[in-house]
Amino acid sequence: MKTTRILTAGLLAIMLSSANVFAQGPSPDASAPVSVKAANRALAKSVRRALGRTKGLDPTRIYVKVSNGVVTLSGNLRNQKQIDLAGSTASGVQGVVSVDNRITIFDEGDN
Amino acid sequence: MDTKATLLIGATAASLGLFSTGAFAQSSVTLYGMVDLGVQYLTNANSKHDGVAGLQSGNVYPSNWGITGREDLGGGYAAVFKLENGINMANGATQSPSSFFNRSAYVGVDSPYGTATIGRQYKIMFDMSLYYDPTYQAQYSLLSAGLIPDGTTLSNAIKYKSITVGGLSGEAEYSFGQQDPGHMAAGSYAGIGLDYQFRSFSTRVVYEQTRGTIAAPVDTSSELDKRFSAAAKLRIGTATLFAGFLNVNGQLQMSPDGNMYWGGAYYQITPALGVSAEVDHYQTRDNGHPNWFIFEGTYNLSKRTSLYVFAGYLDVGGGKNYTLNYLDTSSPGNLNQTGVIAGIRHAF
Repeated sequence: MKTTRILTAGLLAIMLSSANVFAQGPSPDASAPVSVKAANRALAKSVRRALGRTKGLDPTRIYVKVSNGVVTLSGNLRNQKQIDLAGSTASGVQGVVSVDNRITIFDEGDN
Repeated sequence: MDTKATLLIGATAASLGLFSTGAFAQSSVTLYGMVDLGVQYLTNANSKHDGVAGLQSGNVYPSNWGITGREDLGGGYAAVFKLENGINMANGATQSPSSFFNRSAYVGVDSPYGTATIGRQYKIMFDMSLYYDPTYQAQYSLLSAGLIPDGTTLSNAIKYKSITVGGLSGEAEYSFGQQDPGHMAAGSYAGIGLDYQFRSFSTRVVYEQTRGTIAAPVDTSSELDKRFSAAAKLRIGTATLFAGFLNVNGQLQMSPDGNMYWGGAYYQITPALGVSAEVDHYQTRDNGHPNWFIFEGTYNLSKRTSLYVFAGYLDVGGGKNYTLNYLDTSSPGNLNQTGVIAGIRHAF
């Protein structure tokens, strides 16, 4: 975990510094990666919060990744109904462009 | 378990005009199942240190098929039932010689206050541990270590499962056991469990006690197996961390007296590829300190079909009768074991 955080910080630092360099160059849009990354992370957080509040879902089994407003859901849930519920919950979050629902079925044979 | 093969019997009957009112409209019967088969290689499978290779059914989850149904009774009430048979995919045999619907055979009522069911059903420890085990109680898992000895299912059982209120839910179960006149306590079971979920964190506690049986001339019906367990899990990013504890005491000792500790993690590398690892440690009073080291990887071909691999190592730690694969109930040689499994699982 620690290494990941250091790596992320390092990457961010590199991007920030490169963004600064580019800012003086001909392309004023080059600072985009940082804000896009932050936006992805913020949106992922909103989606996770929405899933955590949805009755009948187990958010410790759903994994959320976001890229440019496109949400990828993975992990596993009990049945198709729950998978659809997770998908529609994610779609309903403000800022979500589309949902790639890759959640699989793992059922304990109950309900 | 959700399936394409849902037969809307009640709805069809109603539409045919068999019922004079629409009150019975929402009734359904669903056929479902899970088929799981792989190849296993296991070392020290006998006391002469010989290994064994062969097909092994139900590696991720026991292969099964069943029928479940639900009839809406109105006012938030519904009648529910389930019949589930365990199958050995390697040879087509039923899993249990004495019980056809060995995995589940129950009927009951679902209500706004919870669900009450009677029949053959899972123990509380199974219901409330499945998702607190990084490998979801596969053939190499906490089941190998003896978290749920003598099977995961009980006959003659009454169960109540609450609804979830503010993240909190609970279950209670009682089994009449052998139902032997004059020995009503023989083989009886009582269990209770609570689960609490808050955002990406959840935790649960379970207490169970099982009484010994009478199989003349052996009578252990005065002995109890008491087990208390606490466990928690936390999702961080695309990973989930797990930890748990079990205390076993009482004379019956379905698994040895002592404390069990487990920890592990699941990591979703890509949406299709996930890996998990776990370590189970059993600190027994007088049967050694065994350790189980388990690694698992799953690649999803679709929502319903996946390929998987397992690798496990059992260090018996001076104890007897421990096994890596929980289907092998006792070790012939009390030796350390290494095992690998590769297979395919499909749910329908």
